[in-house]
Amino acid sequence: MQFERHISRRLHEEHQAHLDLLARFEQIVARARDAPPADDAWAALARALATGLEQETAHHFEFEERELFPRLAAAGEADIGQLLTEEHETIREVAGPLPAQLRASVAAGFDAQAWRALRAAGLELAERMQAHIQKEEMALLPAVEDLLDEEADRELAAAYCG
Amino acid sequence: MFAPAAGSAATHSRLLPALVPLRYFGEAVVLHFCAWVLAWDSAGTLAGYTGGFGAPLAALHAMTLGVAAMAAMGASLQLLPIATRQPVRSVALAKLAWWLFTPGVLLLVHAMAFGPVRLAGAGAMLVAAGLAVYAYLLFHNLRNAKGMPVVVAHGWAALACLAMLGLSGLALVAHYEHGFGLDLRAFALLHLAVAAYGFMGLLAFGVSYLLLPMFALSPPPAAKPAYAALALALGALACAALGTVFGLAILLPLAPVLGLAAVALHVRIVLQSLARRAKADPGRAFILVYIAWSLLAASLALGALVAWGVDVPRGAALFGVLLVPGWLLSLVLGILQRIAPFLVSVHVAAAPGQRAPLPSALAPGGALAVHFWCHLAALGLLLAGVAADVTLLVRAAALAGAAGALSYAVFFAILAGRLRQPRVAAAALQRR
Repeated sequence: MQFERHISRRLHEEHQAHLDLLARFEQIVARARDAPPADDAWAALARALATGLEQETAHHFEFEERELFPRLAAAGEADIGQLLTEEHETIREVAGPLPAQLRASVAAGFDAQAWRALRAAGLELAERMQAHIQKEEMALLPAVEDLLDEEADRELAAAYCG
Repeated sequence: MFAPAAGSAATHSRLLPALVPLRYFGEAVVLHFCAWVLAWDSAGTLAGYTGGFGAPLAALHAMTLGVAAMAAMGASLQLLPIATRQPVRSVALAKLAWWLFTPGVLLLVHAMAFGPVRLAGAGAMLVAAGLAVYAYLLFHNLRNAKGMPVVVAHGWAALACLAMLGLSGLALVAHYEHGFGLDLRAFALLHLAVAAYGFMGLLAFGVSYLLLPMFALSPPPAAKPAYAALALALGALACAALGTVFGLAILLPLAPVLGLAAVALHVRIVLQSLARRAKADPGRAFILVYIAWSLLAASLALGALVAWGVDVPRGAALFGVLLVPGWLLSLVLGILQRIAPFLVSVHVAAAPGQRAPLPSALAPGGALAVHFWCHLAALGLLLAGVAADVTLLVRAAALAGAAGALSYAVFFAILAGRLRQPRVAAAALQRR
């Protein structure tokens, strides 16, 4: 779908970026069952994913909950906002320990048990995030196109990116 | 009477109560099994079948109306409001369509298989009434749609074909039941074209542009080529309709050629979109979709040969196998096994103290794996059995198909059982 609102396009681009990172994570851990890969590609991905979860994902979720879901509720679509909020909570819970685990995985002494725990949590996160993004792409972003006028879109986009 | 209640928050919701689409899917799952049982009954006559009441016609309609149309109605009633940013127009009408369509299909299929013929008329009327209610909902959704112009354009074209499907179907039943005079071959061909390639094909094309990229987490396809594919498909249908109804024989060979061009372009568009997917392995459902596309093309190729006067032994039966269990059934079962868990995940809540179930945990993969291999075996055996006119192979196909259908039913039953813990918001809406 082509989005006309700046904020829809920005959120869509972030969805794609998250999906790409998680897809790369899935591909790497599919091959590495007992230990993290000892290469620069994993190290770079682990750091990018850790930073992404701590900063971009947190910022993305908070913005949606603060600015978009209340507008959905006011328009009579509280059910979709509530569903997405619940999924945010679950994803936060799953993702919580991951940044520290990801950073530890590129350091020496990261044992097989810790790796398997990281792998399981990461794969669960990937599946939940993919399902969540599917719902947002299908139900939330198209609704945002209707909810925001040009002025509100400009203000929100400036606040989000600022 | 059926306008959304003013002032209610539910009037703006794009979500149906879970049990509305699921009742359509559930009925499709039941009729899927029934269709293969009827295929078993058809085994001795299928290879030479060229038309008329009997088990083959009943099996055909169990698959087309009972599985494909039923699943398409349930899916589109939920997906189109979401995709086109429309509130659900009427939950009551969505339920009414099911209450009319389901007994209609059961009556019609029973009458086709076992008689009496007079029941077919009653069944056809109920089917037509259910489709009319559905068409009303679809019309209003498309009329007020925002966004998704490609999907909406396909929806309008499918709706037009649905009208022709209903009228031609009623005319055919009137012929069988009351001796209503008509050119049976022409009307049967028209009915087949507008039902399978028209209503189901165009709805499938349009919804595929929405669903397949969503499932594969890939960008949506470009609009212009999608419109071109639609134009080719409409050209093919127009040639088929004019060629059959008005006896313009020169147009008949053009129909499958244009149809093949439409399919080729559609597949190319979707594959280009899927090539940019974020998820490496989209899964077994997509393999079923790819198989469906191949058999759709094969049905058109066979249709072209027949239209050009090539004598293909048991061509009519082979065409039916390629078109219905080959293309339609494979496509619907592939998409349904992705859309049903998606819709359930929207409605299911976490148990106290636990996280909501993972999407992969909602639907047991083992049952779908069994279905996948049984379905492939059934298709292969059915094609071989019809081509070689070997009853034993057709019976083996029916057994494999029925086993696959039971497995699919297990998948669906477990999935539906997850709804014992509906989300509070959705449950509250259902009580209104």
